[in-house]
Amino acid sequence: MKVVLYGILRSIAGRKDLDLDSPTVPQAEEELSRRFGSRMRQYLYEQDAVESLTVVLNGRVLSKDEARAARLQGEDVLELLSPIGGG
Amino acid sequence: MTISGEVLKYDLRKESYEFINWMEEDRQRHGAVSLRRTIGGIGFAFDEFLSEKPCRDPSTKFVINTGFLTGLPRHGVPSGCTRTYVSFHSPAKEKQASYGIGYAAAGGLCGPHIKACGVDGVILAGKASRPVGVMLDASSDQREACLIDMDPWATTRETVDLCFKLGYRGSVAVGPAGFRGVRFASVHVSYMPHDHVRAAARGGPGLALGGMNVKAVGFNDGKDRTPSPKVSGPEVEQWMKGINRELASGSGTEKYKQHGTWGGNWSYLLPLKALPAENFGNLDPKDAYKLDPEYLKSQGWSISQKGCACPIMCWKIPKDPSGQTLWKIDYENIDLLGPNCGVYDIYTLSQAIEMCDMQGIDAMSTGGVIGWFFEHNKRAGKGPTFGDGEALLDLIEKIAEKRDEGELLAEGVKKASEKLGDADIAMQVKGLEGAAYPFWSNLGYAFALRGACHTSLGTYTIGLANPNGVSSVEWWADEIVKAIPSSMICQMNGACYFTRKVIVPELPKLVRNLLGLEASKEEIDRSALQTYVIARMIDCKNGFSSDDDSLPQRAFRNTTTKELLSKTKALFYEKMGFNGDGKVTQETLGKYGLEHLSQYL
Repeated sequence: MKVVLYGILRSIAGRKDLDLDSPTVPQAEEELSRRFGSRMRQYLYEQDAVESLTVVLNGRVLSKDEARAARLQGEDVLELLSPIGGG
Repeated sequence: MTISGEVLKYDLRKESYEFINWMEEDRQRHGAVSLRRTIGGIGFAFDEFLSEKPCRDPSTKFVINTGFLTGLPRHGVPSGCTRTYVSFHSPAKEKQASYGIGYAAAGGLCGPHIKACGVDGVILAGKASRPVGVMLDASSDQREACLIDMDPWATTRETVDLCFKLGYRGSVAVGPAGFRGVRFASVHVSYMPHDHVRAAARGGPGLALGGMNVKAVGFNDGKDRTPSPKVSGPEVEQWMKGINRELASGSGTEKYKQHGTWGGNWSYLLPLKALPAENFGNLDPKDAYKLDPEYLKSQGWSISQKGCACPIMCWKIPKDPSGQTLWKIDYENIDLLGPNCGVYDIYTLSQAIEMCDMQGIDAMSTGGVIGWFFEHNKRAGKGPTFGDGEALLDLIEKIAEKRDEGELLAEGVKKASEKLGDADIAMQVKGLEGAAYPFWSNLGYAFALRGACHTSLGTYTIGLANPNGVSSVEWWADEIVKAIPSSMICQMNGACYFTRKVIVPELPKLVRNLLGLEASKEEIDRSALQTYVIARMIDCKNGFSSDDDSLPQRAFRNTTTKELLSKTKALFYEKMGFNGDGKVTQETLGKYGLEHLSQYL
């Protein structure tokens, strides 16, 4: 499965995308936190309503419940976005 | 405490002034000083606009003030807390020749200079007989205020630089547009000599102040009278160091420093196909990549992290591969003047933003009204229309000078569309042109205090990230009610909006250590809710009602329907304690502890 990172997540990871084997979104988030550290973890688990993580699977935005339940497969593209929260 | 409890009141008609101990006045009038007024900003200022009569002229009163956190770290407040607030009857928010309440805020360095003059703010009333600067000189033991003649046609930058030259390091300036009657004229706040000024732009403060014949308000704080925190000592210093460390290098502000609002929003909204373009009619513009900071960097540009006097650095300055430096860019202004007008040339847009700043017009409203005009022309099969960069610059000049087509466009998109037609695509709420987020994803715009403004009710983006929530009445009503205190408090306390994740959780402790008051999170939230209720009361007095809690026709797409808005409205009113027409009643005042204001219902 391909994970595409945007904005601050991309800056922290130092790359645009990467391949992961994680079968679920929470597991993919855990793997990203493990690889890229506490800064990545803070953004992935952000609780603020305006700035919380947006999860897109194969072009469709997932709600938090859907993101928790989704099963990921080899050809899937998981996009993770962290809003800036202001303009 | 970090407020002085004094304000300067200047009667422009009589050309007289006095320093008022507002805390003592409040005590005498109401028996106590409210937490709301003490926290400051609009929480203090809106009370000054309560009246038993509707306001028929927005240029009769203007408040410039600070929050209890406004200051510099050397004064014992957190870094990033330099806000200046301006409150006024908004020329944009007109209902049957009456005007609702408006406010705007900016960083820069004026706020700390106001505090250093030993006042929390300035209340201006009446009209001066000629264009003047209202100058507060606190450079010696005796504080004095005076009026000086000023050139109304000087740019904002020239005006701020003149104030610097005269020794007034803090200033709030109006551009020529404010004197020509542009409804969305802005005011600009000083930073450093010859450096970028910061705009407090939304809702027409430049017209409100310019209409009073005030070109600038200056603050000379040669003798520093900044009040000190109530509590001090090593423990407090250590705690404050922790806050400043978090502001300087923590995750709460990191996104702004690294990407600014421009890059941050581009990297969020573009992949989600939610970047407003062509008068909000296209949310997936194919050329938007040309303005993506990441793309520009890959083409040899540098996007610097120069910010105002705070650790946030929310705006960025692009420099092209040949070394040419362009004007500063924030997200809202580049999107609304750029993609929203179909223009993707960064040189044109940088020039457009600079023109708005110098002439003193709100770049966001300017982009909103020109975007609408381009679509109006496109519908009629004539030009200029989307993509015409030359016309964009030409129209900005005409708006600022109120000539040719600019005369009508300077009235704002609501008035212009009422006259020319195509009101269905006028992207405004309560007369304020929209911020650069898709309207369909933010039902909160209908209830935002100053109209289609993202920061006065922070429910923008949540609709994009919550596909299951957006069709639910309960979800929206809850989110909107929740967003009110967190949005309002950022317009009160003096801290930059972008520090909120660090500052807001610390507010009870900041109130205790800086003001010497005990206040729980709930009590602070209540003071913010009171501010919203008072604003609504002023709006109701000026004819606003449920009908004005609306969205433009184009907002109704995807799950956002008129029925959803109507039902959410009813539930929101119920939760807030308003009546069925969205009005504040005696019962509402009781619910929020504002019974003493019932004469203004």
